[in-house]
Amino acid sequence: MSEVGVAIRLPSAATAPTRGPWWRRLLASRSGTVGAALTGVVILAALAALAGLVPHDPIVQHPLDRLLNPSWTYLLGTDQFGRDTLARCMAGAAASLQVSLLAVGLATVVGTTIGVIAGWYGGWIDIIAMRLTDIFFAFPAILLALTVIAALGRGWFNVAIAIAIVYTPIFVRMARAPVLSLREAQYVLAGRLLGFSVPRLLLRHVLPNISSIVIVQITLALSWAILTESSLSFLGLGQPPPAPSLGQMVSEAKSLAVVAPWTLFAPALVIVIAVVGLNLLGDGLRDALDPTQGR
Amino acid sequence: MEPSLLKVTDLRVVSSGRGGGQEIVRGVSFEVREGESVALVGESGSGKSLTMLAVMGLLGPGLSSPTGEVRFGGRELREMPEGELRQLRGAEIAMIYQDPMTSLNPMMRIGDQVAETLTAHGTGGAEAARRARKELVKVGIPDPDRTARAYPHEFSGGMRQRAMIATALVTGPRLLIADEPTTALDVTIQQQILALVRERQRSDRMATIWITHDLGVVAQLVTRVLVMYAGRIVEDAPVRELFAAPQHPYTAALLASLPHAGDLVRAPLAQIGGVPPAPGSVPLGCSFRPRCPQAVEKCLEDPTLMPRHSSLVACWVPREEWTRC
Repeated sequence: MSEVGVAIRLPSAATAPTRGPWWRRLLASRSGTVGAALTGVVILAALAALAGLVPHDPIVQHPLDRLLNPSWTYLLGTDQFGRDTLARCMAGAAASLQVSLLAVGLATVVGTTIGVIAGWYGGWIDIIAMRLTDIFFAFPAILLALTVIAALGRGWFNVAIAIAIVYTPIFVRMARAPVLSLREAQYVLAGRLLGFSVPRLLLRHVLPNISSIVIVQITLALSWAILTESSLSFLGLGQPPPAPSLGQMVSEAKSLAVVAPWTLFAPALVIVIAVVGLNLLGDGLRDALDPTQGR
Repeated sequence: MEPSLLKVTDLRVVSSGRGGGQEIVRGVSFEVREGESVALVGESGSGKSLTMLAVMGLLGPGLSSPTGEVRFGGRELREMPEGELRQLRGAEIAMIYQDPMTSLNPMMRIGDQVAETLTAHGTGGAEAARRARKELVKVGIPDPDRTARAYPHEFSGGMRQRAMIATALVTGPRLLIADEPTTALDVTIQQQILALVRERQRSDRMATIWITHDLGVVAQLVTRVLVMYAGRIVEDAPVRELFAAPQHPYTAALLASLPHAGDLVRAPLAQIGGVPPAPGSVPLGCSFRPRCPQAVEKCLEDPTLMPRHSSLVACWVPREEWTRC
């Protein structure tokens, strides 16, 4: 076993340092660097938009400047109402991230809690939790989100709730599996023998040992959540206009693809950068947080 | 004579669930006095570890809650609410066991793990950290200011076992249960660890129960030996008498199967014919009867622990009447 392990690990050991803090190992791997850079660009753009640092107001219409080509005034051109595409992309990214972060945050807290408890106690709690996740998994993500929005109504908060409901079962499963083996771990048994309470065992001994899996999962779930949010707003279920949102921009630009391709490409590219960036970051984190590597 | 610390009477553990209902620990009774060092020996699966886990009230899933009496320091543990029992575990009864490689939390610094036993029982954080460092030195881990900040993977096997012993001893327990604490270590480290625990046992006046299948380890560490077979104690004897004149044929067979370093002839190792009975198919009468060279008609009746010389033995045939050896 050890021989195989060494043979497989050698190439990565040559490119990435096996010691040092996790972020140094993350940035030493190519996917980690690229992922962090792409994600960073999107986050910076979104933060700038939230701080009001946009070239033009993303909502104000300029009837005389409709469908302009990219220029020094409008770096990414304008749409059919004369609104600045770059500003709308930045504001849209901010809106997408806001919804995704809230959704994934909720899914992480609720899902991990349920998963840890189900894995720890087993028995009927586990059976109920697992069958419920099965039911959720049986629905396509978009369909499930549509149903939730139909029930709750529109609005960015309800979209976030809908996406959270879609991704919670993934966190339940993800947290439960390692807890099944951790609850039998020698150091957890040692904790029981030393008189540790269940909350102490879960918070201080079980959670830290699944944290790296959770962190990687959060990164990946963020990318899916951005996709789902964009799909929902593409279908007209996200933020109501005129508030900018990436999916809605793509939707509106469908018919303009020939006359003004930038109105379609710009928001689509932002979605791609965010999704690819978060996926690469997730891959990089998975390697950097691998507990079999030195800390 | 020292006052009684742990008194177990007729302890029974039954497997539950599907295919359950088999008795695995079948009426175990013994007593450990304060500061006394006792060994619990027997083959794998004879119920040694299970007995001690039942004493601590920590049986895993698939086992019924034990019946019988477990008195510790005059209190009945079996009727104690879980919260009180938890305060007892770690503070008054501690346990160390087999595998030092996996029994420390890989994500937690050594010093924090030693200190946690104290904080879990109400000691303040700074005081716990200070005592944890002192404890690390006591178990032979040098330079505690530096080593307390290390993670388990930075320690060797022997160091980890020392750290684990520190987590168990830092509270100054009255009883230490050591479940084969040295099987995973090489012989020199094994000797160091045994010496360490024995030394602590003397200095802290701590009672110790050694769970082991290694009679060699037993000889140098304890004053009394409990021999377990198929979920029962078959002999309870002072260590000298046990080695000089075992009263139960099973004990005699165990001793005969020990290899001796001085053996010049390359004779095959002695072994006990047959296998121990599986739970649920324990033979009628004495459970060792099918493998016993001394078995007689009377052995179809179930023997109880009876005093003979200075020991307690569950055997109908006195050593003087043994026909074959």
